[in-house]
Amino acid sequence: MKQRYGWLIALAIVTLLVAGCGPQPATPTPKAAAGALPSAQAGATTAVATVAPTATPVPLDLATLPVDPDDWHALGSADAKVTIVEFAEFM
Amino acid sequence: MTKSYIVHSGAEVAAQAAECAGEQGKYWYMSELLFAQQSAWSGQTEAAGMFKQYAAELGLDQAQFDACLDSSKYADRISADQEDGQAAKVTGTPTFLINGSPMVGAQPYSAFQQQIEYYMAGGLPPTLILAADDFRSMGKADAPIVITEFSDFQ
Repeated sequence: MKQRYGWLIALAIVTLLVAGCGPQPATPTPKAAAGALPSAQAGATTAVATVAPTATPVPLDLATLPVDPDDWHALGSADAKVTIVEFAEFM
Repeated sequence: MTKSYIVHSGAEVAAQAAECAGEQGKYWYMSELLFAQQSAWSGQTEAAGMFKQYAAELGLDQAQFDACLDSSKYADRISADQEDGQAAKVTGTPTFLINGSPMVGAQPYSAFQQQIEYYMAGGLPPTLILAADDFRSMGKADAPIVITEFSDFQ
Protein backbone atom coordinates (compact mmCIF):
# COMPACT_ATOMS: atom_id res chain seq x y z
CA MET A 1 0.00 0.00 0.00
CA LYS A 2 2.78 2.37 1.01
CA GLN A 3 4.63 1.52 -2.18
CA ARG A 4 1.50 2.28 -4.19
CA TYR A 5 1.15 5.76 -2.66
CA GLY A 6 4.82 6.41 -3.34
CA TRP A 7 4.30 5.55 -6.95
CA LEU A 8 1.31 7.86 -7.23
CA ILE A 9 3.24 10.74 -5.68
CA ALA A 10 6.10 10.16 -8.13
CA LEU A 11 3.64 10.20 -11.03
CA ALA A 12 2.07 13.42 -9.77
CA ILE A 13 5.49 15.08 -9.55
CA VAL A 14 6.40 14.04 -13.07
CA THR A 15 3.02 15.29 -14.32
CA LEU A 16 3.58 18.66 -12.67
CA LEU A 17 7.07 18.90 -14.14
CA VAL A 18 5.72 18.17 -17.60
CA ALA A 19 2.98 20.75 -17.17
CA GLY A 20 5.47 23.31 -15.93
CA CYS A 21 7.57 22.91 -19.03
CA GLY A 22 4.78 24.29 -21.22
CA PRO A 23 3.28 21.30 -22.98
CA GLN A 24 2.87 21.40 -26.73
CA PRO A 25 -0.21 20.42 -28.67
CA ALA A 26 -0.32 16.83 -29.78
CA THR A 27 1.30 17.14 -33.16
CA PRO A 28 2.51 14.32 -35.34
CA THR A 29 6.29 14.33 -35.44
CA PRO A 30 7.90 14.34 -38.86
CA LYS A 31 10.20 11.53 -37.76
CA ALA A 32 7.21 9.31 -37.18
CA ALA A 33 6.13 8.95 -40.75
CA ALA A 34 7.15 9.25 -44.33
CA GLY A 35 5.83 12.22 -46.23
CA ALA A 36 5.76 14.56 -43.28
CA LEU A 37 5.83 18.28 -43.86
CA PRO A 38 8.80 19.87 -42.10
CA SER A 39 7.45 23.34 -42.73
CA ALA A 40 4.19 22.45 -41.06
CA GLN A 41 6.05 21.32 -37.97
CA ALA A 42 7.79 24.67 -37.72
CA GLY A 43 4.48 26.25 -36.76
CA ALA A 44 3.86 23.83 -33.92
CA THR A 45 4.77 26.34 -31.25
CA THR A 46 2.06 28.79 -32.31
CA ALA A 47 -0.77 26.79 -30.80
CA VAL A 48 -2.26 28.35 -27.70
CA ALA A 49 -4.01 25.59 -25.81
CA THR A 50 -2.36 23.08 -23.56
CA VAL A 51 -2.67 19.34 -23.82
CA ALA A 52 -3.51 17.12 -20.93
CA PRO A 53 -1.01 14.32 -20.47
CA THR A 54 -2.22 11.19 -22.16
CA ALA A 55 -2.03 7.85 -20.49
CA THR A 56 -0.48 6.09 -23.44
CA PRO A 57 1.91 7.24 -26.13
CA VAL A 58 0.22 5.19 -28.83
CA PRO A 59 -2.33 6.73 -31.21
CA LEU A 60 -5.98 6.03 -30.55
CA ASP A 61 -7.65 3.37 -32.60
CA LEU A 62 -10.23 5.08 -34.75
CA ALA A 63 -12.00 1.77 -35.15
CA THR A 64 -13.36 2.31 -31.68
CA LEU A 65 -14.89 5.61 -32.78
CA PRO A 66 -17.04 4.81 -35.77
CA VAL A 67 -17.71 7.75 -38.05
CA ASP A 68 -21.00 7.33 -39.84
CA PRO A 69 -21.40 9.72 -42.79
CA ASP A 70 -25.16 9.21 -42.64
CA ASP A 71 -25.23 10.45 -39.08
CA TRP A 72 -26.45 14.02 -38.78
CA HIS A 73 -23.39 14.81 -36.69
CA ALA A 74 -21.11 14.12 -39.63
CA LEU A 75 -20.09 16.30 -42.55
CA GLY A 76 -17.93 15.39 -45.55
CA SER A 77 -17.07 12.33 -47.58
CA ALA A 78 -17.08 8.82 -46.19
CA ASP A 79 -13.67 8.14 -47.77
CA ALA A 80 -11.98 11.37 -46.66
CA LYS A 81 -8.25 11.05 -45.96
CA VAL A 82 -8.57 13.09 -42.81
CA THR A 83 -11.24 12.54 -40.18
CA ILE A 84 -11.87 14.96 -37.34
CA VAL A 85 -13.96 13.83 -34.39
CA GLU A 86 -14.87 16.65 -32.04
CA PHE A 87 -15.96 16.06 -28.46
CA ALA A 88 -17.85 19.16 -27.42
CA GLU A 89 -20.69 20.63 -25.41
CA PHE A 90 -22.73 23.78 -25.82
CA MET A 91 -21.28 25.49 -22.77
CA MET B 1 -18.11 14.72 -36.86
CA THR B 2 -19.09 15.93 -33.46
CA LYS B 3 -19.89 13.99 -30.31
CA SER B 4 -21.33 15.21 -27.06
CA TYR B 5 -19.06 15.32 -24.08
CA ILE B 6 -20.82 16.89 -21.13
CA VAL B 7 -18.73 18.60 -18.50
CA HIS B 8 -21.03 21.41 -17.36
CA SER B 9 -24.48 20.97 -15.89
CA GLY B 10 -27.13 22.24 -18.24
CA ALA B 11 -25.19 21.27 -21.32
CA GLU B 12 -26.99 17.94 -21.61
CA VAL B 13 -30.38 19.53 -22.26
CA ALA B 14 -28.78 21.66 -24.92
CA ALA B 15 -27.25 18.57 -26.47
CA GLN B 16 -30.66 16.94 -26.52
CA ALA B 17 -32.13 20.00 -28.21
CA ALA B 18 -29.50 19.71 -30.92
CA GLU B 19 -30.31 16.04 -31.38
CA CYS B 20 -34.02 16.77 -31.62
CA ALA B 21 -33.30 19.37 -34.27
CA GLY B 22 -31.07 16.82 -35.98
CA GLU B 23 -33.90 14.39 -36.53
CA GLN B 24 -35.56 17.15 -38.50
CA GLY B 25 -32.40 17.93 -40.48
CA LYS B 26 -31.38 21.00 -38.52
CA TYR B 27 -28.67 19.72 -36.19
CA TRP B 28 -26.02 22.20 -37.34
CA TYR B 29 -28.45 25.12 -37.41
CA MET B 30 -29.46 24.42 -33.84
CA SER B 31 -25.81 23.99 -32.85
CA GLU B 32 -24.98 27.42 -34.22
CA LEU B 33 -27.96 28.94 -32.46
CA LEU B 34 -27.11 27.31 -29.12
CA PHE B 35 -23.58 28.64 -29.22
CA ALA B 36 -24.70 32.07 -30.37
CA GLN B 37 -27.30 32.32 -27.61
CA GLN B 38 -25.25 30.57 -24.95
CA SER B 39 -25.18 33.54 -22.56
CA ALA B 40 -28.97 33.79 -22.76
CA TRP B 41 -29.88 30.21 -21.82
CA SER B 42 -26.88 29.12 -19.76
CA GLY B 43 -27.85 28.71 -16.13
CA GLN B 44 -31.55 29.34 -16.80
CA THR B 45 -34.01 26.94 -15.19
CA GLU B 46 -36.32 27.44 -18.18
CA ALA B 47 -33.64 26.67 -20.75
CA ALA B 48 -35.73 23.89 -22.28
CA GLY B 49 -38.48 26.41 -22.99
CA MET B 50 -35.96 28.64 -24.71
CA PHE B 51 -34.78 25.75 -26.85
CA LYS B 52 -38.37 25.19 -27.95
CA GLN B 53 -38.45 28.82 -29.00
CA TYR B 54 -35.27 28.30 -31.00
CA ALA B 55 -36.93 25.33 -32.68
CA ALA B 56 -39.75 27.61 -33.74
CA GLU B 57 -37.25 30.14 -35.09
CA LEU B 58 -35.65 27.38 -37.17
CA GLY B 59 -39.04 26.38 -38.57
CA LEU B 60 -39.04 22.92 -37.02
CA ASP B 61 -42.17 20.89 -36.43
CA GLN B 62 -42.91 22.23 -32.97
CA ALA B 63 -44.93 19.30 -31.66
CA GLN B 64 -42.31 16.80 -32.78
CA PHE B 65 -39.47 18.83 -31.30
CA ASP B 66 -41.26 19.40 -27.99
CA ALA B 67 -42.12 15.72 -27.62
CA CYS B 68 -38.54 14.77 -28.44
CA LEU B 69 -37.06 17.17 -25.89
CA ASP B 70 -39.60 16.41 -23.16
CA SER B 71 -39.02 12.67 -23.46
CA SER B 72 -35.21 12.94 -23.47
CA LYS B 73 -35.36 10.81 -26.59
CA TYR B 74 -31.64 11.01 -27.29
CA ALA B 75 -30.32 10.63 -23.75
CA ASP B 76 -28.88 7.21 -24.57
CA ARG B 77 -27.10 8.54 -27.60
CA ILE B 78 -25.52 11.32 -25.58
CA SER B 79 -24.47 8.82 -22.95
CA ALA B 80 -22.87 6.69 -25.65
CA ASP B 81 -20.94 9.71 -26.89
CA GLN B 82 -19.80 10.36 -23.35
CA GLU B 83 -18.53 6.80 -23.08
CA ASP B 84 -16.69 7.19 -26.39
CA GLY B 85 -15.05 10.30 -24.99
CA GLN B 86 -14.01 8.54 -21.82
CA ALA B 87 -12.56 5.71 -23.87
CA ALA B 88 -10.61 8.27 -25.86
CA LYS B 89 -9.27 9.84 -22.64
CA VAL B 90 -11.12 13.09 -23.21
CA THR B 91 -10.87 15.33 -20.17
CA GLY B 92 -12.28 18.63 -21.41
CA THR B 93 -14.06 20.32 -24.26
CA PRO B 94 -13.47 20.82 -27.01
CA THR B 95 -11.21 17.89 -27.78
CA PHE B 96 -10.52 16.95 -31.37
CA LEU B 97 -9.24 13.65 -32.69
CA ILE B 98 -7.63 14.23 -36.05
CA ASN B 99 -7.07 10.82 -37.60
CA GLY B 100 -6.97 9.62 -34.03
CA SER B 101 -4.44 12.13 -32.73
CA PRO B 102 -5.81 14.30 -29.92
CA MET B 103 -5.78 18.09 -30.03
CA VAL B 104 -7.20 19.82 -26.98
CA GLY B 105 -8.73 23.24 -26.56
CA ALA B 106 -9.88 26.04 -28.81
CA GLN B 107 -7.11 26.02 -31.35
CA PRO B 108 -6.40 28.50 -34.15
CA TYR B 109 -7.19 27.65 -37.75
CA SER B 110 -3.48 27.19 -38.44
CA ALA B 111 -3.28 24.31 -35.94
CA PHE B 112 -5.95 22.39 -37.85
CA GLN B 113 -4.39 23.31 -41.19
CA GLN B 114 -1.03 21.99 -40.06
CA GLN B 115 -2.46 18.64 -39.02
CA ILE B 116 -4.67 18.25 -42.08
CA GLU B 117 -1.83 19.04 -44.46
CA TYR B 118 0.35 16.55 -42.62
CA TYR B 119 -2.12 13.73 -43.15
CA MET B 120 -3.01 14.78 -46.69
CA ALA B 121 0.71 14.47 -47.51
CA GLY B 122 0.65 10.86 -46.36
CA GLY B 123 1.74 11.40 -42.79
CA LEU B 124 0.97 8.71 -40.25
CA PRO B 125 -0.26 9.10 -36.70
CA PRO B 126 2.63 9.61 -34.31
CA THR B 127 4.29 6.64 -32.79
CA LEU B 128 7.01 6.95 -30.24
CA ILE B 129 9.98 4.62 -30.36
CA LEU B 130 11.08 3.97 -26.82
CA ALA B 131 14.62 2.84 -26.19
CA ALA B 132 15.58 1.87 -22.66
CA ASP B 133 19.26 2.22 -23.49
CA ASP B 134 18.86 5.80 -24.67
CA PHE B 135 20.60 8.14 -22.20
CA ARG B 136 17.41 10.18 -22.01
CA SER B 137 15.49 7.21 -20.64
CA MET B 138 15.22 5.91 -17.12
CA GLY B 139 13.65 2.69 -15.93
CA LYS B 140 13.01 -0.70 -17.42
CA ALA B 141 12.35 -1.38 -21.07
CA ASP B 142 9.31 -3.49 -20.23
CA ALA B 143 7.74 -1.10 -17.69
CA PRO B 144 3.93 -1.24 -17.81
CA ILE B 145 3.74 2.55 -17.70
CA VAL B 146 5.82 4.89 -19.84
CA ILE B 147 6.03 8.65 -19.41
CA THR B 148 7.41 10.62 -22.33
CA GLU B 149 8.25 14.25 -21.71
CA PHE B 150 8.53 16.76 -24.54
CA SER B 151 10.37 19.76 -23.17
CA ASP B 152 12.93 22.44 -23.77
CA PHE B 153 15.42 24.12 -21.45
CA GLN B 154 13.56 27.37 -21.10
